[in-house]
Amino acid sequence: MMPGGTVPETAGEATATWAISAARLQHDGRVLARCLMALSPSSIDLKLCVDAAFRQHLASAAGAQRQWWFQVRTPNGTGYIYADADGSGRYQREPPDGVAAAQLITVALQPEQRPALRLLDEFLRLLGGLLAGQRIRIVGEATTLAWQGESAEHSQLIELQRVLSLTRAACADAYAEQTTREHLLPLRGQLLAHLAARVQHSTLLDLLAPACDEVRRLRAAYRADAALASWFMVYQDVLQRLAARLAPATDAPDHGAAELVRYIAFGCAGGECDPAMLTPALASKLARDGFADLVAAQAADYLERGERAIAQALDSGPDDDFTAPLYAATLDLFAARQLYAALALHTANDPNRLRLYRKSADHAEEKCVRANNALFVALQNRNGCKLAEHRQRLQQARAGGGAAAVDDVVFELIEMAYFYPRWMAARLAASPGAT
Amino acid sequence: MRQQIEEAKRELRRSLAGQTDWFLPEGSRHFDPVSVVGTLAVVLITAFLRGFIDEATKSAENAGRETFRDLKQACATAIGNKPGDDEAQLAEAERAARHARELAQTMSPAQRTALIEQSEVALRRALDEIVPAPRAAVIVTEVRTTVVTRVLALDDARRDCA
Repeated sequence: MMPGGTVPETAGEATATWAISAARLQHDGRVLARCLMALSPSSIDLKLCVDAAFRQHLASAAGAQRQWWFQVRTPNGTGYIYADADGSGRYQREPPDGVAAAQLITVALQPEQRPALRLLDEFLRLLGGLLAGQRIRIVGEATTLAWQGESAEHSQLIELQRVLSLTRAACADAYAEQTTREHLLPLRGQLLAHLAARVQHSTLLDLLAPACDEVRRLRAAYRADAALASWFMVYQDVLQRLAARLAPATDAPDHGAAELVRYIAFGCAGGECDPAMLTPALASKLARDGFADLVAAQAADYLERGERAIAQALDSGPDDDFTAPLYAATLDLFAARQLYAALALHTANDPNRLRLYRKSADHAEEKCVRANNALFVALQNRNGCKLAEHRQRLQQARAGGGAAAVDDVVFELIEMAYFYPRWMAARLAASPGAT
Repeated sequence: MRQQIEEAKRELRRSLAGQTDWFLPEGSRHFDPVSVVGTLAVVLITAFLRGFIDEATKSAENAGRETFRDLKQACATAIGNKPGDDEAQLAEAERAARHARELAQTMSPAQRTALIEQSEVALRRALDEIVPAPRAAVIVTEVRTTVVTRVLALDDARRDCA
């Protein structure tokens, strides 16, 4: 029941008052925070803009038109989204074949438009108002929310407010670079100090741990987007693999450490602090230096772990936190995609391997996009609107094609789009009124 | 038999749901509606049945291999099918299923199992060129289990895939 906009209740206006539980507020707050950080806040900005444009066109759709192509312009480039009135759709980077430019519906996302942040701000205002004992009316709806929780719940919501305020700060434009710099610069200093002491490479890896552990904590607290979190994850994991490779490869005990220092320094000694650039750069360096197999093994691990997390989400029960494993999956799949894409750039002379890396990068990206979409649908479903749309689509399928058509739609919503856990299949497939 | 093929298709598509992009031509992305998963399921079921028939009749010099040689192209073609093409594809699967079942009924359980395993090996070899090896192994096991239990309905040839 998270609002699109909230204002304090005005006396005299007729609204229905709903009690909202602390558990529900925490659930909605977590889903919103996961959405913002799963890939990046800007990806949710884009989704909200496209969704608003889609709804506008759906409402004003003339005649029999049921499908649209959107041209989405962002500061980072242009993409194309095919959307069907039944709620299905797909994204591609290239213009669609056979669609005239005049038929494209243009959606421009300006940097100053931050609809995702507005949503977070509204939620924080709602939370603050409820904690202060106010009744909050949802803008655009004849609904007022009230919360009269116990003192134990009060402290939980204060904590939620604190967490989301920090998430809000982590949505700032330069946050990822700044955080990366803050963690890499001390590491550089420590590395130089340890070089003089000629330490073993196991000690060198210990130097990485505090920064990487800290960013892992930030990710768990919804304060690190995928690029930031994946850089520190890759940095540590790949260099651990490299250390294991280098250790038995030499009789000279110092040699392994010296080699390892080169790669640790590559990550922290340069001027580059954009985490989205650091991961491909390290993967490319390792590939050029003959360690492509090591990077590929790490990418395969991330891909497998990401897919396992999606399977865990789909197999979750009614009392489980469905979006938690989806949030975890986006990080692993994002990292896998980055590593495979970097490997593909250094594999030109081996067509089979090149195809494998390209396909694996596409596969990881596809899964990542779907997991991120599923999080977004969970966000939209806070008031049940997407569930209502999906039920309507199921009703149309039932009327048009019977049980088999319903089965197809349920299969798509769960197994392909990850919008719901599997336990929801029977509920979705049931006739209206049966659940 | 059509019903068994449809059931097999529905059962197999869950295993294929997250794997369709390996079968797509390079460059195509985010293109995996339900129909594509079902189409791929029918292609793999038909290929497995044909492999079984070829092994049983030794109709090809290198039985099995011949059947699977063009699997990659068959998958790509099937993915590009128009809605009307599905019927032809299902009819082809149905024909192969009838033939395979007739042949299976004339064999001892040991013979059937041997031929099923040969078809499985050949399909695995062909899939290894399309899908990374560990995933190919999982898909082939699912195809085998689905065909044996749903299409051929051979309890004695069923293998514990766990």
